[in-house]
Amino acid sequence: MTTLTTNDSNAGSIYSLPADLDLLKLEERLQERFELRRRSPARRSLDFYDSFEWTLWHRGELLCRDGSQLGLFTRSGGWLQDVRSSMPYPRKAADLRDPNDLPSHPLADTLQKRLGLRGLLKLCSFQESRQEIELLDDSRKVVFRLDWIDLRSSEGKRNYTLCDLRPLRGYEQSAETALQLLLESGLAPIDHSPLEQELETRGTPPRVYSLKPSFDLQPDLPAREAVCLILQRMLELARENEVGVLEDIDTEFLHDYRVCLRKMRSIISLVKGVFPEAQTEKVKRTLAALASRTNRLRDLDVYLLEQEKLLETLPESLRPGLAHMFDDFRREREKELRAVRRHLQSASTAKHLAWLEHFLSSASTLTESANSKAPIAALVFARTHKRYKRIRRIAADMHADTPDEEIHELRIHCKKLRYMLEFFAELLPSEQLPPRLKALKKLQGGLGTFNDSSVQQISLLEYVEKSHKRERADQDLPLSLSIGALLGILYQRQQAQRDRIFADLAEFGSEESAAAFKTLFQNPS
Amino acid sequence: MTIFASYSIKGGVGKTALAVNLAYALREDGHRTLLIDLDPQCAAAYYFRIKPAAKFKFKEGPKLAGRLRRNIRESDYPGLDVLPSNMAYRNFDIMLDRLKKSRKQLRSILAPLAEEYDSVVLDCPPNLTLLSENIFRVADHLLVPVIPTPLSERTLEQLYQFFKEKKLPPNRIRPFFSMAQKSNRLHREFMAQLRLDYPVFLDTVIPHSVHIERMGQRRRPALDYAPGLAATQAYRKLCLEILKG
Ligand SMILES: Nc1ncnc2c1ncn2[C@@H]1O[C@H](COP(=O)(O)OP(=O)(O)O)[C@@H](O)[C@H]1O
Ligand SMILES: [Mg+2]
Repeated sequence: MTTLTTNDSNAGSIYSLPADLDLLKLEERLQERFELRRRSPARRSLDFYDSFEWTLWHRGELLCRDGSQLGLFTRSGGWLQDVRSSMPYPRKAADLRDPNDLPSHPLADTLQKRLGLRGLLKLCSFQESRQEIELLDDSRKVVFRLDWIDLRSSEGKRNYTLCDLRPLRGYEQSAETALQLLLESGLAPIDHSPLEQELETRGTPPRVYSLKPSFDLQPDLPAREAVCLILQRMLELARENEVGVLEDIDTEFLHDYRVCLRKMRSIISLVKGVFPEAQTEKVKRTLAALASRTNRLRDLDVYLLEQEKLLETLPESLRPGLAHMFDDFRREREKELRAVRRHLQSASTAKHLAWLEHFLSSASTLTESANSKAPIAALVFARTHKRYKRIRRIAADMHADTPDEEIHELRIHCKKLRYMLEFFAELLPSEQLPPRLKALKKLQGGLGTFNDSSVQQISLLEYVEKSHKRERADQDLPLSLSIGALLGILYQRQQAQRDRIFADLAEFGSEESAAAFKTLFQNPS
Repeated sequence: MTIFASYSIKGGVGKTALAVNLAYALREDGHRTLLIDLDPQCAAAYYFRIKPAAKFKFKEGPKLAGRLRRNIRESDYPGLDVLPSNMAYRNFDIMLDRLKKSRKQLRSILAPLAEEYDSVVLDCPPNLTLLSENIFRVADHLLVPVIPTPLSERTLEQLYQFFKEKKLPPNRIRPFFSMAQKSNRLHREFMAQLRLDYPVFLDTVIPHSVHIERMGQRRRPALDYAPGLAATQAYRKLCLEILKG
């Protein structure tokens, strides 16, 4: 069923029609057994939405706006089934992007929960005209419904015709009779819905999005080939995020774009000697050039995402002081976003990307280097194991007075270990890796909070300094008070992490853990 | 799941008219609603053009529940289902009498429906029997249509008396005026008097109206075929008044 406003619980199912069948012929056929009643035809537009990651699709749901209502539906095949929840959404209102902008409603809450930091993208739109036919029994009671639906896609103006069959509970016998007649007339269940067809035609079919893709590696693949495979895939992934950054759909696009570039940079540092030295350096420089212009924008995103949480840590009276700071951040973000857009669309970025792509596709023709031919598994597992042992040694030396800098260094080591385990996950035994990754993630959780708190303290201080220079005496006092309070909280939060980190470290560096890591790397799959 | 019962010891007072339109109004308010016709006269289902249920043997609560469930019919209004009655319901009381916990059987019959429905409306037969007692025990709201005539007061009195004897919570009883005629002075006076005696009367009054009377010919809820009239709107108002609590 596809009306947004009722709570019909019947599972609808959609059928395709043979080309030579029209509504009149179909009605004639049904009239052999039923009296029919045509309802007045209805027209509406249907806009489908989902996140870049197809969050709703993968949950078996569809989000659809039909002019005046926004509805979350269960998905049957690739089409609307039952409405889970719906809310008014005025025809005139702008395109849906950030579920946090929706007025308060249970559906808005559901979407926020489902989508997290993700925004919504319009997948495609249809103009729908729908003719509902009711099949009646001898008391003129409705026993079956059939919707004849004509769809026209807004982009490309392609036409689709289909039937939505809607049996009624308790009238299974009639449904069977009707279905028999319909099948004889050539109706067939649709395996590819108009939505799926339309998305495919546009080259944007539903897919699984992950920053940890599989690379189809083999243990004895020459290291250079393996690294090129990984770099190429990560570069593709980075580039898929460009549009979302340009259109500022949500902050995850920039985040993922940067993660991809960072992972690329670390893999060539971590798997040494796969390219000639000069080439390695040039790849690193190129990646750095691509990413560096986005640093400030990402920082601002992080502050703004944290805004509510940070404000909540302060007493009510100190919050207005900070509000000014966030206003400044928002203004600065606008500026930075424009700069990042220019950067992404610049000639130099295009040149860098073209060079990288060319380099990766032609790397096999380069002269050999120290490890270019080494089998990838043996090469990286020895190194990765070494990295673990190093972390273990650092952990053993840590004590209550260990300076913050050493904890930061430990964090970097853990990050590198994590990258290596994830890049080469498919070469490691699939039962043994998850528990090791879990332990590592737990440790990284504490280290992450520790680092975030310290970075936030630094940037707050920077902000205060800058704003003092601008001499806004009227705002200075409240701002300083709020930031002072916040610094205290952040410092405490950071220090509180130390105990947690030490506890996690003890576990991560334990004899059992060391033995488990040893077998992990001894038994590549 | 909230259970509404349309009940009176008397026949012809507007129980079925209420049950049908209340179920319709609940559904319009977004409730997944089931109307259960407990009266062997089968009037409620008739108003939805739904035929009486197939014959079946009475079994104990949980088994019976499954059997009844198979008889549920979707009305012409998505979100509103009807469990039609059957002449066999005349024997409901005899059946109940044979069972253990005979006064609580209805509860176990209805319990499994809670997953599927937000609201259940019971259209009850006009008597005071074991089935009625089952209804009193399970209903969250016992809605009692009262035609403003002196005779009605006696039956209302009887109902409260029964609740007292059986130690049932009397606050579940919600009487309201049914088929009231504004132009009838006796009706007006009697309504005023009854409200004084029974302050629990609902504010909403269902007036006497030919448009409601026509349900028999139209075979649809009056709220469907005459939605804009004050008389039919009264059912919606009554629904909201009960929901408000
Ligand atoms: N408000 C009303 N105005 C006019 N006629 C009504 C009204 N309510 C019910 N009726 C009619 O009165 C008769 C009895 O009503 P019904 O709802 O079947 O009562 P019950 O279920 O209590 O026996 C029916 O013919 C019905 O159409
Ligand atoms: Mg009746």
